[in-house]
Amino acid sequence: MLDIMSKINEFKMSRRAFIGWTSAIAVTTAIPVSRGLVAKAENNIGIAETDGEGIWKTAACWHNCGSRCLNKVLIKDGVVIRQKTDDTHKDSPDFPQQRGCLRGRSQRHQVFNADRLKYPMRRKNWKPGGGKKELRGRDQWVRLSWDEALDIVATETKRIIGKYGNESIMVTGGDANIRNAMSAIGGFSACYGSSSWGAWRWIWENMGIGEGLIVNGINDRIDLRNSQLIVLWGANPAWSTMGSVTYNYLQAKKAGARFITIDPIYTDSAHVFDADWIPVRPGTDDALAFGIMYTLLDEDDPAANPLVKWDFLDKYTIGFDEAHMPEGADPKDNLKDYILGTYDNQPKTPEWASEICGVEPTKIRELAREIGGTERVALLTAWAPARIANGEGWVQAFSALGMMTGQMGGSGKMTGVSCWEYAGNMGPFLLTAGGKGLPSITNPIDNLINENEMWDAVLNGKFLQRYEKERNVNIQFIYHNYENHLQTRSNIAKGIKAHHKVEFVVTNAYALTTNAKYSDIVLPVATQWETAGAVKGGNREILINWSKIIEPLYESKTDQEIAEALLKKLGKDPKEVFPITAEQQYFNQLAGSMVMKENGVDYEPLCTITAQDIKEWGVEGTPQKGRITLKEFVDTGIYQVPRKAGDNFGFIAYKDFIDDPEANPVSSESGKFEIYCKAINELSKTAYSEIAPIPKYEVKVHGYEATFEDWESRKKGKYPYQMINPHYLRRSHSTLDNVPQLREAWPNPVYISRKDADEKGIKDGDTVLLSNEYAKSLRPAAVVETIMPGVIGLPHGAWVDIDEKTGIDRGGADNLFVPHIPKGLGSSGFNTARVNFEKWKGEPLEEDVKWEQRIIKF
Amino acid sequence: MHEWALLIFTICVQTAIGGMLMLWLFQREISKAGKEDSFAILKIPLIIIAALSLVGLIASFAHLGTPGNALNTIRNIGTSWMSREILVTGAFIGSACITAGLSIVQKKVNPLLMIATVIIGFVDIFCMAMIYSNSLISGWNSINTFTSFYGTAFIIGAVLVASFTVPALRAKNMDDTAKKIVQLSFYFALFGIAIQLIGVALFPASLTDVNMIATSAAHSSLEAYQGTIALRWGIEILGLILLGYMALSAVKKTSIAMAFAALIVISFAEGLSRYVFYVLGS
Amino acid sequence: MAQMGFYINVAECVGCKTCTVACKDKNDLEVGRNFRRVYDFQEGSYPKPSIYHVSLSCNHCDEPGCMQGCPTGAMFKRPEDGVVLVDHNKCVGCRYCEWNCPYGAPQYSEELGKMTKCDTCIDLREKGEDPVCVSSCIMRAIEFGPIDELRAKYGTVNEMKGMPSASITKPNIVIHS
Ligand SMILES: Nc1nc2c(c(=O)[nH]1)N[C@H]1C(S)=C(S)[C@@H](COP(=O)(O)OP(=O)(O)OC[C@H]3O[C@@H](n4cnc5c(=O)[nH]c(N)nc54)[C@H](O)[C@@H]3O)O[C@H]1N2
Ligand SMILES: Nc1nc2c(c(=O)[nH]1)N[C@H]1C(S)=C(S)[C@@H](COP(=O)(O)OP(=O)(O)OC[C@H]3O[C@@H](n4cnc5c(=O)[nH]c(N)nc54)[C@H](O)[C@@H]3O)O[C@H]1N2
Ligand code: SF4
Ligand code: SF4
Ligand code: SF4
Ligand code: SF4
Ligand code: SF4
Ligand SMILES: [Mo]
Repeated sequence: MLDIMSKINEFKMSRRAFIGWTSAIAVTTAIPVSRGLVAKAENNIGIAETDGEGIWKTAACWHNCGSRCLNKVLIKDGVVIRQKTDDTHKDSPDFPQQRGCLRGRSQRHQVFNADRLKYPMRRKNWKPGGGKKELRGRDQWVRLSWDEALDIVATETKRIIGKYGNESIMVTGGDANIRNAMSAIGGFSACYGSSSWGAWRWIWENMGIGEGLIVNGINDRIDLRNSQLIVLWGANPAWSTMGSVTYNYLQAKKAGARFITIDPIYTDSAHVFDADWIPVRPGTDDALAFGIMYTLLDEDDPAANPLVKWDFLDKYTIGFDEAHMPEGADPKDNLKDYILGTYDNQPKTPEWASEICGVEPTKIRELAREIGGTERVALLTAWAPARIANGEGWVQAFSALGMMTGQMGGSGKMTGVSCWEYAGNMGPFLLTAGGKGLPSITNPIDNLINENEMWDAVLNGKFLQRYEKERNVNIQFIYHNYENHLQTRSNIAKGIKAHHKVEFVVTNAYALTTNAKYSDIVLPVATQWETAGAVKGGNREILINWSKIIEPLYESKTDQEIAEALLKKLGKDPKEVFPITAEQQYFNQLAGSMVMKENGVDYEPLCTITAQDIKEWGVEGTPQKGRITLKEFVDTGIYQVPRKAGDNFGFIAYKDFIDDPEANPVSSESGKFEIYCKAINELSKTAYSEIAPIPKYEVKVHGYEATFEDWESRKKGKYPYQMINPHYLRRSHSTLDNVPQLREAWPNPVYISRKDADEKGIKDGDTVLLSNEYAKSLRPAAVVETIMPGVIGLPHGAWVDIDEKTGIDRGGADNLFVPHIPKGLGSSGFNTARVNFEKWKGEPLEEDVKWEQRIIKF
Repeated sequence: MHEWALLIFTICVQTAIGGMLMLWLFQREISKAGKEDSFAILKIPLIIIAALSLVGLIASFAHLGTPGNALNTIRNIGTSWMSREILVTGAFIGSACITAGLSIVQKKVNPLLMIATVIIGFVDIFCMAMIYSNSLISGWNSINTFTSFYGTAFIIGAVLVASFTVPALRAKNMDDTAKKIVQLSFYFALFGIAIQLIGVALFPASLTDVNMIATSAAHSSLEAYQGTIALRWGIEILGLILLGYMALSAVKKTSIAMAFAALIVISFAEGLSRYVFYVLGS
Repeated sequence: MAQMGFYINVAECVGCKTCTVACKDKNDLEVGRNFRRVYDFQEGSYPKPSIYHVSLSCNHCDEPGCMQGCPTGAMFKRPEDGVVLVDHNKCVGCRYCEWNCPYGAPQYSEELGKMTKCDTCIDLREKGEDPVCVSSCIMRAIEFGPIDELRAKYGTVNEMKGMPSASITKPNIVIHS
């Protein structure tokens, strides 16, 4: 009997092993790998394991996820066995812990993922000059030694520079290492875009307002509790600013604020804030704003019903009406007359707006009365509604609305961007990180290619050097590092064509990302757990520092090491670009970190550093006196300034200007808020399309109107649905999309309204085929009541995965559908795209958590 | 569906139980015919029944994640129907094997042991059904579970024993007895089907609320399986027609081939039916 | 010690699934095994829909179905604080408890061949820490403590639309919806 049992046990074990081998590759291979390789985990200087339970260290969570939180890992016997988040102080709404999200908590599964790239590698059919270039993206991989790989990169770099010049190199990505190295050997053609900001990126300064990252446009979170009405106009912190932001907003709700969301989607933020939802068509918020402004003018009665704050307009703005136009401008070109339709015979009535934006005229009037009639309103928008083509008019209109209602510069009153790490909480940083101390190397080549035309530039050999004129360029070498342009910039199909054209493509990557997949040479890069350490800010109240958790896994190298090795191969002294070590850079950041004093004005060094510390760290530096010891900061991993109502750290955006506009002018030419902004109009004349000096409604390329074949008769076209790309909780853009447990938690469907799905006979879970003139893609449908009919929500950032036989993507990559058409000043237009969808008749898609990971076997 | 082991287990054991009942009845029929001692005819079916119960046993072990702890499973007789079922199943398998073994040793069948085994078996089916009907799975907590399990015992048990006794009876030129036995087995199969149909008819009415989070109501989990269910009934009826033809036609000699064809067809139909049953729980 | 239980603030939960993943990390759970699960619900229709999420682990019930059905007695309720645990020395891996728990709490481990489930992070609690799901929730929507205290603080609602009836197992959970 016992024997039979052990036999059965054995059978079950082998069956389990089989199951493990087939379906749970990640689990079975990741664990032994991490066990083996983490054995070299490093202790912090001075930290020792005391209780035999391992040591907790602050580990990097470095993604561009819109937040920054404290993440720690437990290292025992050299193995990372667990993670945790902020428990460094007692949690309270005023002084909240910086709790990480599900992605941060999955960090060890990213670092130790079974798909980590282990060795430098080359595309099998690569030859100097490219070889079979059309095989990029589907070729096999050949393992290389570092020496071989760097030799190839150096030789090709030299060959290409010799033949086509440095201009023919395009470096993408923000990381300084490769950029600096390439700058040091003669430079490269750079690209630029306004990815996050959309249309906010290049016009705020001229208008005299803040865009939400460089310049603050809203008040701090404690003051938010003074708002009576909070309008989230295209913002979903519950998804796109994890960490503390939604919790902070909730405190405002608890303090009595009412919420309204204006969004094509009824979001989880709307749910927890118990908001009134006003569904709006993507890219039509400007029309809605005009409808509101019309109502304000229409119903305003300075005595009985003061909806428009004429004093505010008079004192702080130019361009609202004929009487306040700047010199030299056509007086007829004022906003009030535009809204009333005085000269164009088109009053921007709620009825007019409703046709475009889809909000009922009565709703528009109600909105106007609420915004105009409430004393303290927070008009908050994320960048999403401006991440559209021709979006500048929206930014202008939204800002003008805030000015018209005087919701700027007072307690509980604010109008501006609330997004990313500073969402719902702006003001000067209470803490700042020190610099690394690396020299800045200027790029001798000044080509700046707009991301909306970067693939066209590669394919057609020309681009617009913005604010100048068209230039020729012959890109033959793309070097990708620290971003995923082929995935995250518009029109992936065109991008792939561009990648098939050039002679050489290199990517530094730690998994086979889209960039890496379409490259010739892939260099395995260390993650931030494997680098010396860094100090990072997040929201204004915190400073986080993380240190090295492990030595670089497998044969991976840090970005700096790769850049140094490459420089050496190219005959340059790496010391010119990297005169100091990575450890010294980390130390410099720590030593230079500053914290605001209680008085809310002055700063003092954060860390006390002794001569002993400097010796232990083995770096150069001078002892200094600060608020806490260096060791405490490194061990805790965070310093957070406690906040409470009435402290000296509160912030009211534009308060100086409001208090004394003459003494504290804003950044515009006139020093006032420019509703009429000549500078924007001037700039646009040498950019992609003309932008009016005042907010004006403009039809957007691939916007709502473009879903019709004939707008006049309202006959729908071939791609009758609008598509938006909400930032999705399973990943940060494309980052972390490869982590199986995140795929399990967030399955990445395409969101379709019940009404649209019913019309097509599609049920929840059915596989649907999305298509437009650029691409086709498959996704399971999430049929919901929470998205506006006519709008398709395809979550941002899924890894493109094209079936080479059919040409159909199965990953659901958003940028397959986004056109590549620069408009205005060249801002990103991700949320204006159009598609069709239908029920997929082939094999239904399997959940992507079950897909094979991109593990390269040599 | 990941409950293959349970599917095999329940079908085998239920077939063995129904088979034992039929054997008991047949041995009475055969001994009525008088001239032959029934052992020679019933030996093979008896061994098959014992073997089926052992296959069931192995399958039940295969279902367990830690078969090494199997002995623990009878520790909770007080509240667990699973415990009770395991105990009774053990008793059934034991007595089925003893019945078969003893008759081989003694070269004769022991009707008393047989009927005792049958009774244990019927209690066992009850316990088996209680496991499912006591669970929270929508569709299992229904009278259908009982009728389905007993039905299977009657249907396959009858056909199995008939098809394995017919060859021996034919060989001994006991064509009349063979015919009788096939008739008996046809009526039992009809009875089995009848109670299953009653269960099916009562199924919708006996469904309770969905008592588990994140599961769907039985009717919606079955939505995708309507084709399978139809196929099952089609095949089942085909098997019954075969059996009915053998039982009721004027032809004197019972066709061995047809008997086995009926066995295969009916077993397949019952397998499909059980498959659909487990779909509810997956 | 008193019977322990969870408080779940459904009204303030954004459905982010951080609790699920944090628990996975703490317990080294592979894909497919989740001691805490977040169930998403939708009601109403456009343009007035509503959504909510219910985060559930094990409710350490007063009348645990899992335990009643368990043939081995492996599933047991700790007398001192009413926490329902699996004794791996006894568990045979029959998965019967899965069919008897209304909340999907028992989570079978293929690797162990045994049942596993939420143990209220006993080891951390012994050190005076909160369970990981509690300390991870970015909305502070989960609390853990003696159920009497939670009920005194937040009321006695222990079910809501979408959840199974509390009459089945008498769960130690307080729901705020
Ligand atoms: N989970 C997750 N969070 C992230 C990121 C991520 O990749 N994943 N990325 C981070 C980064 S870098 C950035 S820049 C931010 C961006 O953050 P946001 O700019 O806030 O972008 P989204 O989250 O895509 O969109 C916010 C809301 O705007 C709505 N929306 C989309 N188009 C329109 C429109 O035309 N009009 C209106 N009124 N609403 C619209 C969407 O439905 C969504 O509810 O997110 C950050 N946070
Ligand atoms: N359709 C559509 N497209 C969009 C958006 C949208 O809403 N819709 N959003 C836009 C926005 S707001 C943004 S900010 C962009 C983001 O665009 P990207 O910056 O391209 O996005 P990520 O996917 O975060 O890419 C980061 C890459 O860097 C790699 N990486 C991380 N750490 C390191 C490192 O230390 N070294 C190196 N060498 N590599 C590293 C990661 O693996 C990843 O491949 O996407 C934009 N694209
Ligand atoms: S919000 Fe961003 S920084 Fe915070 S844990 Fe998540 S991924 Fe990391
Ligand atoms: S972590 Fe909190 S907010 Fe997020 S799903 Fe879990 S309970 Fe809800
Ligand atoms: S929730 Fe389920 S597993 Fe937990 S005690 Fe209750 S019945 Fe048992
Ligand atoms: S799997 Fe283990 S705990 Fe669950 S019922 Fe079976 S023996 Fe009991
Ligand atoms: S108490 Fe611990 S084991 Fe239970 S759900 Fe929470 S984190 Fe998971
Ligand atoms: Mo961004």
